[in-house]
Amino acid sequence: MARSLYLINPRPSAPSYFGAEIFEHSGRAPAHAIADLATVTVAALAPPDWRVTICEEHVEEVDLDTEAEFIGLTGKINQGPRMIALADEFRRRGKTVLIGGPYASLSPEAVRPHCDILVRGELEGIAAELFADLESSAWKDEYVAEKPDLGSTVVPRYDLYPNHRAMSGCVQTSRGCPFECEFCDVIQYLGRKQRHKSVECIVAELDALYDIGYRAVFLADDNLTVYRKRAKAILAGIRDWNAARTDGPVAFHTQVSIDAARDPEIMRLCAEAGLVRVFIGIETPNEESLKETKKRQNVGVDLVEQVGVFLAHGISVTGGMIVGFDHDGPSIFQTQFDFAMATPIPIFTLGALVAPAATPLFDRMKSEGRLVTNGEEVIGVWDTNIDLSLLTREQLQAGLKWLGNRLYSPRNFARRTVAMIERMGPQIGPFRPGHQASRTRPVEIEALGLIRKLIKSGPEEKAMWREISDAMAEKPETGPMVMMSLFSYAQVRCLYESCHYWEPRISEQQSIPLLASLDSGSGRRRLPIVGGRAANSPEA
Amino acid sequence: LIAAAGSPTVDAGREHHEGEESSDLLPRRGEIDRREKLMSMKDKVLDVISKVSGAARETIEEQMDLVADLGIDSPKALKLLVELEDALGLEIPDEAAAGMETVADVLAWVEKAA
Repeated sequence: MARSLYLINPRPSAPSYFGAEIFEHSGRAPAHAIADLATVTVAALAPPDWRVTICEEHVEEVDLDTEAEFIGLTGKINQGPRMIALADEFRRRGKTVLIGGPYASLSPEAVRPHCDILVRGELEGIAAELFADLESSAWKDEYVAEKPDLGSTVVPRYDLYPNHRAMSGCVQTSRGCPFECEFCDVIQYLGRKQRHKSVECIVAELDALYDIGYRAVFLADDNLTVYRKRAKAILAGIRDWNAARTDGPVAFHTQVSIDAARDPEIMRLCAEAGLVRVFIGIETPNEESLKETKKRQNVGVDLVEQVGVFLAHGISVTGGMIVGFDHDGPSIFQTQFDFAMATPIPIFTLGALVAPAATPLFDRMKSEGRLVTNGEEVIGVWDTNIDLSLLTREQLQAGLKWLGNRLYSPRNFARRTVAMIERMGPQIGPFRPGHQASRTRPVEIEALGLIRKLIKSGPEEKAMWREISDAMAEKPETGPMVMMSLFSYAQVRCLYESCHYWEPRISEQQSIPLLASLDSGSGRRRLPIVGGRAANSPEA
Repeated sequence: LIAAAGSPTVDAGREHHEGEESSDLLPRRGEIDRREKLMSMKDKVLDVISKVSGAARETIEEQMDLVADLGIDSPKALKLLVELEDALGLEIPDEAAAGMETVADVLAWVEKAA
């Protein structure tokens, strides 16, 4: 009898900047911003005679009555609580539960009691052994994988995924990042030596996504451009592939570091490939904080000028923004606001500094006795699990609320978006003027409906749209980037409203009263913190 | 007929107009108003499509595909929908928007919704 596996990507505990909870929040059918890659990859690694089904819980209910013999759960830290709840329920129902993925790999002790089989690390290298053991009912309690070579990989089973409810497809061209930002858990999981897929494998995956109908694809790399030679080969391959599409080009988005702006060839290749949006961990204009957190690639460079290089190549930028470093005092909120408004960056993923388990920051906080929780998830993007150096928790919360509301007042968002449009250079890739338009997918039509609803939600939002629309009319080729920013803005508003952060009147305040009263030289007050992890990158 | 028409009055659910000779061969005042309103709305639709697509108004034909012939991609579709709603005073549901592939589809929806 064929063996069967039910793979689940659980719902996160709370909305994030890069989610699409706005769909459900607005009474529509749920949708996912970026299609999950873990479940479809595991499905592709299963033997061909296995019956594999996938549940994307972001958009559909988990079938607790599934007849599948094995249950596979994956997820990141913000999916941890739901992952554990589902695992417990399936085990209660007599199923054999496997848990793997980033959270299981970084916090194995948290999931170990809730599963029959714990899989740590990347599955490719041990998939054959694992599935053989499952077939012979002689599995081990735990499998620990090495970091596999990605030179030849399988095409994920996108055909099993609810693609009609995902706005963007997903392809991973590499894993790992050579940088060592103190707060980043990715390098603890995927390593600092970056490994790359072959261009042939990447193109095969893109073909599959294109045939399904995706016209937006997230390149799920931790840092696409960091190894220049390899990145150039991959980008050239994507460029050639995109240029040969006969039913409209694909818009790519990904994550890079600011140093890519120093390489004119790589910037040109990014533009030619159809890259329209990048996430860059800007984090802070406070150089002392950048040094403290070992974000060396951002030190000593004019961040605004470097962002401008991306825009000059027709690529929009989303910025990571973190508050709560040891060098961040009460003035950091105004400093961050002034910096943000000097940039042409519409969307900043504003969050508190968090020390995820297994990171150097976690170890340092623990050794300094400043860890308030023990690595468990923290709910919300503005909370932290560490005792800050120069800010109390009350100051942090008050400052973030002021900064978030001020950054995202319709007027200020419009100002940064118009700045982006005005500074955007000509498209030299597949989105140059006169390119073949792609038919809008139904889920994108719904996204347009969400943006329309936002625009009509008040006079300030209407004025915001008029300002942006007028600027876009002058440069129609900026349309895809503006659309992405507007959708992200709608999602930010959903996030802030559902977390009770949204208080527009605060944005009118020129100063933060709570900070003034607490910053009177009486010193910090250390208060108990209920944890939360800053979901401030697409991969968080 | 239009010049002769006065204020409409309603009699047992049927409209009559002073000076108007009742005849089944002639359109009634309400019907004329509706047609005029519809023509005005269709004019507005074509104006908006022309403005958003950049195509000259006189070159726009009903069978034209919004994407293939007029280059209305997602960003332009957003602008089109917002401008149409503003111009017509109507709300266009997602399902209706999803069904609009040609100029004729837009006009047909407007006719139905008007």
